[in-house]
Amino acid sequence: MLRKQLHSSRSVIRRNNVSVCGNGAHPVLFAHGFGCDQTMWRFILPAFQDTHCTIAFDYVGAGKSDIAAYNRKRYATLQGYASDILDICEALDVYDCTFVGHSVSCMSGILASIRQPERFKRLVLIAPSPCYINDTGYTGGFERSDIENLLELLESNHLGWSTMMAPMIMGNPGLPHLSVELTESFCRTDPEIAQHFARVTFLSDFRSDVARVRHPALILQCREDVIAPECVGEYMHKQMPNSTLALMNATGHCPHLSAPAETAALIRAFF
Amino acid sequence: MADHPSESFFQDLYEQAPCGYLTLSVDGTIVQANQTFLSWSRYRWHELHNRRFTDLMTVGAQMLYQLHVVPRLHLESVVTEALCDLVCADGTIMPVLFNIRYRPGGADQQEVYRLAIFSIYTRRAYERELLDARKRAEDLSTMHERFMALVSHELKAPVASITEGFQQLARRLHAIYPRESAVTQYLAEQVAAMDSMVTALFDVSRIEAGQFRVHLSVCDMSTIIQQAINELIPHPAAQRISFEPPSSSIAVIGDQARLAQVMRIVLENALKYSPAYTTIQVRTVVYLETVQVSVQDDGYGIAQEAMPHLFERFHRVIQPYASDQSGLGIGLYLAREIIALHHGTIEIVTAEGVGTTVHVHIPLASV
Repeated sequence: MLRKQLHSSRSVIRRNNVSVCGNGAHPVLFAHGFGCDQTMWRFILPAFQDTHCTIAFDYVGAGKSDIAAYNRKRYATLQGYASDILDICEALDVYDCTFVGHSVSCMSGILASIRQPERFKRLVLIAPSPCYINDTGYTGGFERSDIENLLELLESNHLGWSTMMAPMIMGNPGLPHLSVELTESFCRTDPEIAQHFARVTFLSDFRSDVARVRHPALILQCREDVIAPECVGEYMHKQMPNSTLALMNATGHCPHLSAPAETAALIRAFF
Repeated sequence: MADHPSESFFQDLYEQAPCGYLTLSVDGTIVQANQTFLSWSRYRWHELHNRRFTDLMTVGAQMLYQLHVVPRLHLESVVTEALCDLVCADGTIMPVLFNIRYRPGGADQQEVYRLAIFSIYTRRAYERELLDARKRAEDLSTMHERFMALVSHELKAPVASITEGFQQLARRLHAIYPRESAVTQYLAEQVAAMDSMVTALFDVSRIEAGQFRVHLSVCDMSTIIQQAINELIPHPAAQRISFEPPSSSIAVIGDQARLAQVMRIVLENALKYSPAYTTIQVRTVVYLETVQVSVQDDGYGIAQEAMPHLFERFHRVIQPYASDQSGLGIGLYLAREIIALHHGTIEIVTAEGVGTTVHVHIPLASV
């Protein structure tokens, strides 16, 4: 029985390319958003490694995850991605962790926290949105036609004319001074899976789940974020009784990349 | 070309480049654009100066840029072949690919982003055609699967009724008219063949629908092989099969009925594609944590051209010397699916004019 458990833990760790680091005891779980992989945390992980136990992973289909494990049925909704999060918690025997999610991962984390609340102590939501499409009385930021435009572009991408989502080619001719270590591929996603993930993410509506969050939550809202505009951050703050809304100086959708110091400081202050 | 090109040379090189050049400040505003970009996008310089580059993109393109390009730009300082849609001054959409590189600041200048932009109208039109063609092919494939599922499902019940009804009838006929037994025997074989084909088609449609399941339990591989041989025994050709059961049982985790089906398919193929005077050798070898079941015939072998297609649905090997060309060409397809569900493998080794050996590997049940 124990051997089976050990075997399945190892397979989850391999499947999601889980990396555990850090000298501290308290686990902090970092979940990347759409279009990237765990390498996007590389600028803020160092801020936590001395004092906490950092856990980062790739969703199936991203980074160095096991693409063969992709199952259209499982990942047809964000619940499948929430399951990845919970599988990892189970494999590492994690309870009461701090969940740090970016973009769509915030919703996956919220769903996971509703399903198994004991796994989490608090949630940090970077640039979250429960629904991207505008509705009566709700501004998500986009019309359905905008999302269709994005999905169409992703389809074009997939044909291989653009390698935006393919692994970066080794031997970067434009930057010869980079060492071999740095020419590894960043933000890899499988094009087919990325299309499906985009469809699942941008057409979903999880507004009703936002109010069910019981854990204390920190919403990191950027200025001028096209994907998760300020009105969405405000909406989430209103819906979540136990939440704090922090309006950052950082602009754009990835403050953990464009303003890592500010992001790390805000997260640490939340502990 | 001069050794030291003049200022105007570089000016022209930049302005009239065969691609668009843009320079952005770190906050994303346009600080420089070359003539090529201006003429492609139909903007005047004053309309672009200090505007955000992302303002020129369609909404979908902005999302793609924020989700894919920006993170990689932060991590790698350069992104190549980024796909984008730009809105020109006249409202038309210009599909582009661009490269973007971060240029750190120095004594002489501010940090900036530099872009090289290529319009890809023709390429995008071609992509659309490819996508449409792919969609049509997918629709056709779905329709085909639905058709298969429907037909095999509808045929299953009547064929099963005929099979059973005929068997009863055949028994009674035989009791009354024993001399007619040859006819009833022939008819019984035809009905059984029909039943087997419809069942196989139904299995294939289940596989295509992702609904094919196996029911696993501990079973003995040699029993399974024997069962398959026994099921073939009504055919006189089955006498050609030679199987020496191993001294001890070989335990596997499997679906006994489905594994027997696999063995039957392999044995039937061996019987079909070899002369009537040859034997079929069945051997089992246990190594590491696997059992290898080998079925060897001294038959006609398989042509090299046919090899890549062996496991495809509805592909039949046309063998000029074989007496029996019947079948739907789905046996090996089914066999491979069943074996894959058992975490095993199947491989075929052949030499034309010499014979064929089929090796089936199934993991052993771990103790």
